Amino acid sequence: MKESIHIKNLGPIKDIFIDDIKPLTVLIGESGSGKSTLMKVVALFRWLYKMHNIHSYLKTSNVSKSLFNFNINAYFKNCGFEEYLKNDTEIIYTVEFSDNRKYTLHFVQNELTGTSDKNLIETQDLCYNKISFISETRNIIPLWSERGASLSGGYLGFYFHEVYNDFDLASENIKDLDINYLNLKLSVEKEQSIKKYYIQDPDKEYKLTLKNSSSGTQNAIPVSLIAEHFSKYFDFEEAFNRTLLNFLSKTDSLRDFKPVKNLGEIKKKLFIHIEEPELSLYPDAQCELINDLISKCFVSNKNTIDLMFSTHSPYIINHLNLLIKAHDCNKLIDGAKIEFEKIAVYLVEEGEIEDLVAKNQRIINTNALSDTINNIYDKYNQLDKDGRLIEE
Amino acid sequence: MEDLLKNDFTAYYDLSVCDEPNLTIQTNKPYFEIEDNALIKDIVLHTKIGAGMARFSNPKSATVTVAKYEKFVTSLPNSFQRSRKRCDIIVCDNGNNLILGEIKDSPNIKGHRKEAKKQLYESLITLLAVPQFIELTNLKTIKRCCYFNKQPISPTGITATTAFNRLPEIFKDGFKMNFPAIEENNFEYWEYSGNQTLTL
Repeated sequence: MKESIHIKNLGPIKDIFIDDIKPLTVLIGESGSGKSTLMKVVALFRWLYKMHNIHSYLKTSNVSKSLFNFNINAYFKNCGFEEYLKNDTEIIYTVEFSDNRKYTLHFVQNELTGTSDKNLIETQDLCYNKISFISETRNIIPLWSERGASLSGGYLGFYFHEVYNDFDLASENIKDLDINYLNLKLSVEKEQSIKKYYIQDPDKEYKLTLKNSSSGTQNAIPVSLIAEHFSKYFDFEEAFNRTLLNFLSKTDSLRDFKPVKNLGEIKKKLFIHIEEPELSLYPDAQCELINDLISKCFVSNKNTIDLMFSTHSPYIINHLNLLIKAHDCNKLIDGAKIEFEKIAVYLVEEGEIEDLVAKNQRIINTNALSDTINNIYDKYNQLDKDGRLIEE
Repeated sequence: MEDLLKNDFTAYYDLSVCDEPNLTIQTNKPYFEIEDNALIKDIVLHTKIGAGMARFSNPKSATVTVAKYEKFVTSLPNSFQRSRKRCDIIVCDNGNNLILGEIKDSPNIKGHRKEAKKQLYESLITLLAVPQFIELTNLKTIKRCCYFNKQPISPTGITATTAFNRLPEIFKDGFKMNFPAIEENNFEYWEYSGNQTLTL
């Protein structure tokens, strides 16, 4: 299966085309360059495609009633795109299988096409996907988990509640998690039916509630916990059945339903999207967090995962070169390695992307990511001892 | 190459024959660097390491012609030049190499790369319209559009820049990068930074 995305004229994005979204896709660029917008569009269209798969599955399983009404404007509102949409905004998301079997979701002139009964997905191509978006608002999770339950009707935005739901679900399955890159352990305890999250050091010399831990810890823990959950514990069958039952009972179609395929025969995949996994972490810990993530998503995983994340960290991009070489040498770096063919790194700049993967070496070209440090010392060299600018 | 630019290129674009002197430099040195000298506004060849911005290794001591393409375009009538992007140099040897080059001396690779790519691409398209240039490309097997960027010098005792710039020390041969528009024209897009050297 090959996915491509083409986005034109959406907020900061002028024209971005990714012909083949790789299992590990990393976006680096300045604030406001369009990284998050790109990732949110990819996540949204993956979700739309997932829903279209369910729609196709039910239709071919003898459920004739109208099941879905894709309200693209409501989804764009959830993404915060209302102010980004222009008259000439266009998004084309394509999934391609062998023998040129292709499914395209196309948004143009404020209309989404490709999700109707005329465009049903063939049985052999049906897949069931789970899409997770770990937003930068995850640092509110510790506080929300403690206070949020008492705030009925409280709403902190679509992406926060998405990541909170995933965090909550993950902590149902995982009660203890070693966070080796921070030399900490997370434990989940239930007190009067309310979950409490604690951070302990390995020697058990101290125990803190998560909300009182460092900002780096509060940002990193949700990333590791959710990744661990999806990597090893996510139950596709349970999620699939829940989704189906939900739709079938809503439309009173349970009696009509004659499954065309069992879930076991359907392809399954998890898509994790993370905004700046490195938030508030020291560079060493940033690299170790990436080891942890790569290990969970591509080495020790039981479920198939595609990972996309945005970052501001040149350390992380340089570190990926080490993980590529580790794979080539069949060596693990803190449990992590990544296949060169599975990775793409894009510099997002002025609404366009620059592919940073070198084609003659198995390497990410990070030269441009040294500009900041070079600029600093270039200016340093230009100042004389009295603070005057030395003319070249 | 000089004849191609002065006569064939101008004839194709219906311009008067160019009489700009010193449009090419020839060398067969096994190592040389090219500088785009802002003071004298000219392309200069160096054999001293670190004196130039684009580094070339010429192990077979081939006869290499460096054409000052930007200088050539700048000498043409304004009506032709206007809004026509141009790269700095064309490097061609008597072997298989044909190189279009844009050279910078800046700490800011990211800032200049986008413009450099446009300059290289538009130069390539302008040149490929000339039948004699197409004939030349047909004789060559190594055809590249290259963005060369000299790495700045760090203050004594500061290792941060050295650390951040280690990649070009490991991979001396430059990086071949993705640029479909150039690749469609049977050229490759390469980037060279710091000590990275193009071997002819």
